[in-house]
Amino acid sequence: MKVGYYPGCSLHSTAADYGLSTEAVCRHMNIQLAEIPDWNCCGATPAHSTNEFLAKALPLRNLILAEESGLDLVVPCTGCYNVCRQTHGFISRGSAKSHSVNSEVASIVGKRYKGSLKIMHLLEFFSQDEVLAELKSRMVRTLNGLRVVPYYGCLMLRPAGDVAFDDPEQPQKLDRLLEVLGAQVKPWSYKMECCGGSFAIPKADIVTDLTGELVKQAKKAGAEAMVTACPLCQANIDTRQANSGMPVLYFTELIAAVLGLDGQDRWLGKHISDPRPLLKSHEII
Amino acid sequence: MESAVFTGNTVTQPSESLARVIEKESGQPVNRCYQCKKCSAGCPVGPVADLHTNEVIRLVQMGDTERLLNSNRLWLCLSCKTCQARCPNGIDTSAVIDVLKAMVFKQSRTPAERRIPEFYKSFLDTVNMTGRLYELGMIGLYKMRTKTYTEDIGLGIEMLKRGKLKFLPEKVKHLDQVKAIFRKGREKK
Repeated sequence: MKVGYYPGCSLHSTAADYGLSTEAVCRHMNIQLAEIPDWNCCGATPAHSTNEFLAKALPLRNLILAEESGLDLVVPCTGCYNVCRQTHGFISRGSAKSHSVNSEVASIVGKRYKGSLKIMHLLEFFSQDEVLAELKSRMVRTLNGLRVVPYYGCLMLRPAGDVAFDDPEQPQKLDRLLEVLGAQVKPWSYKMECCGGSFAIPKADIVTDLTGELVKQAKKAGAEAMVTACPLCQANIDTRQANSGMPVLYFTELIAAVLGLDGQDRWLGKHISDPRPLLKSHEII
Repeated sequence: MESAVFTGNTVTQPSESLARVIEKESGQPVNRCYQCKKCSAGCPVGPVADLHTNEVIRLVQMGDTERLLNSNRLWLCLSCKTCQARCPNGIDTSAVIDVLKAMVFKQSRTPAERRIPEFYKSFLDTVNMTGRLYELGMIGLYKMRTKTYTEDIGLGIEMLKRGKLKFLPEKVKHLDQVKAIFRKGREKK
């Protein structure tokens, strides 16, 4: 199987653990990730907060480049995914404004965006029946009842019309995936709460408060670890609640564990709050 | 949750013009709001912002540009879109707030929060320079602009040790295209 792949800036830096585990898992499962050639930053929150044209044009260049390959596009970073899908929706609705942005970007990149891309979050990709079945057939161990809470964060499913691939208030896809891997998934009410997003540097106090509440509630739910599919969620909890004893894992790291992949220290060793003692105690690694 | 927006001495007339501009620019039907406050109940920055989410919409309807553009709420909005998800009238207040932030810049006003817009600027400056986010460069620019040199040094070192911050930036090959997008963005401001 071959899919287009937009890692985004984080997976090469602050979420290198997410990037490395994603690539290793896909390689093992014969899923070929064809990276968009010469992709640029999606602009993230700083673009839509300051300049509407940038917010649409930066992701649009990536969509144009991705569309050329004719492959479905898989995006692991929740921020990038949100921006790509919102831009796809904006162009597909065909307003006067969207025609004008598309033409202006075409005059720079040399091609228009036709709107034919299927854009999937990496979690959505792994939730497909055939991928789940393939994953099950390759599992060499299970998570042995590791108690986890699934943490979706705010950007994965909102605004629902453009981006949701699951219920935007009561999502289940990550829950189901973790159950397949053998985790004990704990119910909690904070699946979709915000971690403080892009304020990690300019407003660390807000991020510390919000992530503190998340960790408190995760513990109350009986979790030993939190599981996410978003670089910002992971980084904010891992750095601002470093002493809470609550590891925050990417779902791809847990897939790598049940597949029994070699070299898991390459990503697990990058966390501030080291998840390895917990995983070893459950004989998962 | 009652506040001065509803009780103060300020006399403002409901303004068709501001609401219309906002509706046109944001695509949000702000006049449908009937102040149920579900948006404010779910807002993660409600306790620290000077206006509640529902008050932003009310002030737009009232045409109180001054209070809106001088509010720290514009900058403290995390764009988590909880308000959007729960609004019974289909209003995305974070999209309204994006338009209001752009108005602050257009009118060359001083934003009511200093650090957040400096962070956005530093972030985008590195994207303009390399085509991708260069974290270390962004942190350097941000610290110079806000004079917060010593904050989070220990954390930065831990991230460098783990390879989660890179010393060198990644550069896009067709950087001219990214720069042309930024130039067009500046022209439109």
